[in-house]
Amino acid sequence: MNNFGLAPSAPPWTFALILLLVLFSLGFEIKKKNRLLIGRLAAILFIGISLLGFLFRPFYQTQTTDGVLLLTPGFKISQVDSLLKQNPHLKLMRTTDCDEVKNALLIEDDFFEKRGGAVKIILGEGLSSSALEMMPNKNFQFLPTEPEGVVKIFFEDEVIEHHEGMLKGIVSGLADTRLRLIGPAGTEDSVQLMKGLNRPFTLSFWPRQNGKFIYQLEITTGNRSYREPVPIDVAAESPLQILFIQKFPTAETRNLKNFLSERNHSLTLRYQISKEAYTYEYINTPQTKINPISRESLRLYDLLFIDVATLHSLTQNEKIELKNAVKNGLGVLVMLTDDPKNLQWLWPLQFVPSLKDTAHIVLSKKYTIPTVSFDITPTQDIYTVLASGPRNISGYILQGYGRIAFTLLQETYKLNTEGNTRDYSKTWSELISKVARKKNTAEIKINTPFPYYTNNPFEAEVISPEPVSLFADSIQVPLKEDLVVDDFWHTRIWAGKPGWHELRTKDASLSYFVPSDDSWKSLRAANRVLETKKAVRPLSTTANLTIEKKEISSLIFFLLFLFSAGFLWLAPKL
Amino acid sequence: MSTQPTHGITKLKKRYVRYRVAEITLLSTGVACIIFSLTKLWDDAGSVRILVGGLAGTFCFVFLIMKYNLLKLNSLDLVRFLNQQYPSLQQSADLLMIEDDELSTLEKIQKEKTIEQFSRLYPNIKLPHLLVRSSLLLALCVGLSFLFSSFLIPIDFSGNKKVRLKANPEPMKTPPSSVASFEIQITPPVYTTIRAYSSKNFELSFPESSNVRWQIEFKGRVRDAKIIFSNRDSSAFKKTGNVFILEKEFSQSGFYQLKWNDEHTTHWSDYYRIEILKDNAPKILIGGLSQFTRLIHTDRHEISVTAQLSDDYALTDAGIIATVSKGSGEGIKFREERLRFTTPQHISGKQVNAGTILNLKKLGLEPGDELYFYVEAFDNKSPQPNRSRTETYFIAVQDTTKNSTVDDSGLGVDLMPDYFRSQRQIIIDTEKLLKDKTRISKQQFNATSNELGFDQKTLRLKYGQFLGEEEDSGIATEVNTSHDEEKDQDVMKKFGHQHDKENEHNLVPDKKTEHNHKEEPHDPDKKEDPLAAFVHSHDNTEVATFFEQSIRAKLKAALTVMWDAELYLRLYQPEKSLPHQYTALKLLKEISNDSRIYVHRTGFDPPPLKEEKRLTADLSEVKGPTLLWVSEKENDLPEVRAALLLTEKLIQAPEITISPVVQRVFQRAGQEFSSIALEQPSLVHGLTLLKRLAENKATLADRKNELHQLRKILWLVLPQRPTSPSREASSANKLNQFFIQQLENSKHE
Repeated sequence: MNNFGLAPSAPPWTFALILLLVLFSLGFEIKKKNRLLIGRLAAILFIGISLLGFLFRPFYQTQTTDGVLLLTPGFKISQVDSLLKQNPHLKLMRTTDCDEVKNALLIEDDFFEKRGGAVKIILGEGLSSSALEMMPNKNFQFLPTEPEGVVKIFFEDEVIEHHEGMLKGIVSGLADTRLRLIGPAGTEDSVQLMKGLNRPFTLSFWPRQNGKFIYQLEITTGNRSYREPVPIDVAAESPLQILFIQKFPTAETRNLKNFLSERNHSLTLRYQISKEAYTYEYINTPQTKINPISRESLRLYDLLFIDVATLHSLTQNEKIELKNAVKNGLGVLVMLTDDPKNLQWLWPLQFVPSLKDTAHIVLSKKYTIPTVSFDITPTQDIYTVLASGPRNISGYILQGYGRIAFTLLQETYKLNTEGNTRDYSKTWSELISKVARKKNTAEIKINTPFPYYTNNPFEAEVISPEPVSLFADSIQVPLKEDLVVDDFWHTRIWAGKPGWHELRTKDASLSYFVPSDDSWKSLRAANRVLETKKAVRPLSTTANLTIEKKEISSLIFFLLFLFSAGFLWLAPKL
Repeated sequence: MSTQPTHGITKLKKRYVRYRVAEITLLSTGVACIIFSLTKLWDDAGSVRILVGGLAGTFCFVFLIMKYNLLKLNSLDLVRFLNQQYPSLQQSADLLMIEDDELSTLEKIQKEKTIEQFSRLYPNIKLPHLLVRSSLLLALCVGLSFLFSSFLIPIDFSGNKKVRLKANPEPMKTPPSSVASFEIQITPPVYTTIRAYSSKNFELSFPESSNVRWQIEFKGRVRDAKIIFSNRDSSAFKKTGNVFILEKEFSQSGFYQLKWNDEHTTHWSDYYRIEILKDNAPKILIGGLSQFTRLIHTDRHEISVTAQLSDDYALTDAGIIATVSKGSGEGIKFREERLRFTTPQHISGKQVNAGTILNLKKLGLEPGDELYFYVEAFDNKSPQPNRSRTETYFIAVQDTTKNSTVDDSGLGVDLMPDYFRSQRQIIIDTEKLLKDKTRISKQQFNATSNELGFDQKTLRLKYGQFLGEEEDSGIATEVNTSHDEEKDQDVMKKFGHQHDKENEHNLVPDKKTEHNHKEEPHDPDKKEDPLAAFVHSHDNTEVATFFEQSIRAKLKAALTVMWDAELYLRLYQPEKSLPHQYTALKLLKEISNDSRIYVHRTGFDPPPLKEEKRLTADLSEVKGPTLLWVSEKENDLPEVRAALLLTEKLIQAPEITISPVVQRVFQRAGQEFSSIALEQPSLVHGLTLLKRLAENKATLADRKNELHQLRKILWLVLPQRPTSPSREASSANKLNQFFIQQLENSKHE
């Protein structure tokens, strides 16, 4: 339905003035004896109309619908047809990365900013977080297409060389899927998954070198096989500063000492040879004073191996210093040989006598290893590292920032002497790593799930007590402090070219990998589906009817005036 | 059927020819198949093999056609066959072929009869052919040719043995572009019987001690050339005109590189592998003989020894080295003999099944003697042949009559009399019994279990003696003793322990158990024994022992366990007895270790201490030792690691640019890698790749591929060490601290 109207830019009397002027001109032209009378009269009328048009700006009104059915990659055409049938007033539009569809208009660059609110239904994998953010309101309905392939991937916080690394994820698909993790030297691990939604997988690998590597994840579904890049940033082993304090050396300690020193850990050992005389051994570390035990001397170490007899012989002051050192992050591993009673000042563990003096441990094979003949009453505070059935063989408790660990195992050195070095290493490495003082990692975190594509934004967070400068590949990035949480900074970064990149502050750094645009499509789709689902606030899907004013262009009036005036000038000469 | 006899005979003749042609075709095809597959030994080329196979088939076809005379076959031959095979034709079948005009009346009458007979026979006439047999032969030939095609390895055209002794795992390397032509002549040692052959590849693989002759012609003018070997040795080529020749004998694997100088510059080739195929020692497999054989005097004293001998080239000699052990203890004597195999008498060839029969009586074995033997074999390697031998096999002839004990002068007691089964032997026999359980009858199983129980008892009694226990029954037989006799016996004597060994006094006295007979209280009620002052009796079983208290406790425990072991053996449950036996063995071993006798040290006699000065010294200056050391760093291949990281970086880069810095990294890695390649010649390709990258020789197109190959090799070279503890990552920022503090507070609340 069309309605005309005027939007005058001149006072009403000008209308009368122009009308008079036209009538006068008409009369004047009629009196003339020239040819083309009708033409001249018409020209005068047109001049009058054009003048009125300039001054009174005529317009017409149309009723339109602004509801948009937005198609994103992966949409189903059958859904489009049925939706259009139900909502014929909806306008069909598609995103730039979406396949072409008949009657679907490509969205403009500023679509989300200007007309984002008009989107009523989204089909397909949805929109990126940046696009969603630009939309003024999110009152749309989202009908997602569940992506097939790897839809979730979890990278370990830290992959260390010569430690088994894990790559976990989730696969969705309508066919059986075979995953193969390919490292620099070939296949590292593979897994066959049955068809179905959200099937978890775990692939392991063993990095031999620290550095930034790109592994490949080969995904075979039916006859289709493709590879996706898996960025693995392998960290170097971080040697520990370990202190042994014992009444006397044992074969167990000696083997442990040899094992740790061979792997470049720094060791300090103190054995008591008489009441006040000690023997010291410093391996891979300079000589330092550790007698008496104090918070200061313990601050140099990450882990303390101590036997029960030594614990009993500590002075009251030393006990307090040790407890404080643990609260500040020191790890303590108590070598249980004697009766561990009267240690309540150190830990709340309860020991009960046991008839068992061995434990069956399954490592690469089953071992029967001697243990001390008492058990630890299980509590919620104990984090088990090694267990034999219901029996806690080794574990630890938390004390402030530090941890206090125990192991019931005795004579584990036999594993080493029998040639089972790997199992010996496994027995101790996990316990020591978990108990030892932690190293402070980067306070930078990327909050957006992998993958981050070139020229696409991702969110980063920095924890810092004071204003800090964050650099993304040598370009400084502005940080915004959180309104609620202190020392918590946010930023948005646009990913650069495909490859490894780095976020860096004065004290910390974090590497991230930007894959090429054509990789990890299923993962990107899954992320978008999730983000769009989170953003949606469906209220109404019916389109609003709006009346649109459309002005008649001034150019028309100008041209009309020009031609009419020209004709009047030319007519006497014809 | 046509009644025209001539026509019938012609049809028969055609049918016969058809049969024979089909039969010959089948046979010829079979022959062609076999020849086609066998020609693979000489050449891999398909066209040549098809030609040879086709010719063989054609030859066979023609030969058989001629043999059956099919081309000249006439009707008379068939008539003759009919006359022979069918007597009812009355030898008159030839009349069928003659026109009636030419026959006499009688002949005509006979012909009529023959025609009538022929008409009757015609449908049943069977012509000779071997179609079925030929079809089977063809099937067999086709099967054989498949087998040959699958498993045959081509040999040298000149009739030599395998040229490609080992398939090269990598593609053939191209020779340097400056080399116009080359020939590498490999002459294996004579004893290998492999004739000299030439290689088309610079990567060489040949038998140990082969002589290699390089003959290279370069493009352009080359002043001199040499080969640099992996052991940093180099040999210069002899120049003859424009041809360079070098000969060298090799016994070790490695790699080499060509180096030549032209008028302007020095050129280097890639690295090429030299793989030596070692001459392995002969392999010997003795069959049908257990390592320990025990015979009793009633057994047949002839042992058959068969050995499968094999070598990669040839065997030259083999024999049995037998050692006869006679006597026991210090009187033991050994005699060694070398016995030859009886079949074959002369050992030669690659694989020999040798055998002989060892006649124990001829070897002089008597009950109680033992024979130890092993088989040794030599191959034809020169100058020093390879020798290998088997494990030693034991044959013991049991002496069932001997039961005397031998005193061990060291211990003063006879711990293990040799007519007793040791605990270990009982365990072995019990395990054997359990293993044989399914094969032997229940009665036999029970009997053996009972016997083992008896052995266990015997052992227990013997050890019981050391504890002061007296035997409650005989070892050999259990004889019922009358109560009267028992009454007469001194009970204490029965359970006590008499000093029956003079050697006991040589033992070191145990302070705890030393008897002070002088201090024994006098019992007024005790009957005065006039001999008491003159004898040295140990009546108390608890103390009447040679051992210390702790050992005695162990021995008691061992005896208790032996009781249990015996119990289950007697109950025919050897499987339940085994754990007790193992415990007993463990305890006995501990006792054996504990009962060693040590001589007191003599010498230093410290001066007497002044009691008032004891424990009053100033120890403040006395300090414990302090050790300070750094663990040895293992060779961690730092340059290879650097090259690996760089390779990964280059692979990920959009454009691969080999800058001088990159070249230097690869060069240094190459120097480090060469020592690895020396130990593992199969990795020499990595060295070549490093060299190409260090010299920036690779084309842009090849670079990515070469970098991928290099990355794989470098990664595999890195040692795979076991896990080591490492500091785990954690963030101890103010936020986390606050969080933990809040948790602690809530815990305390």
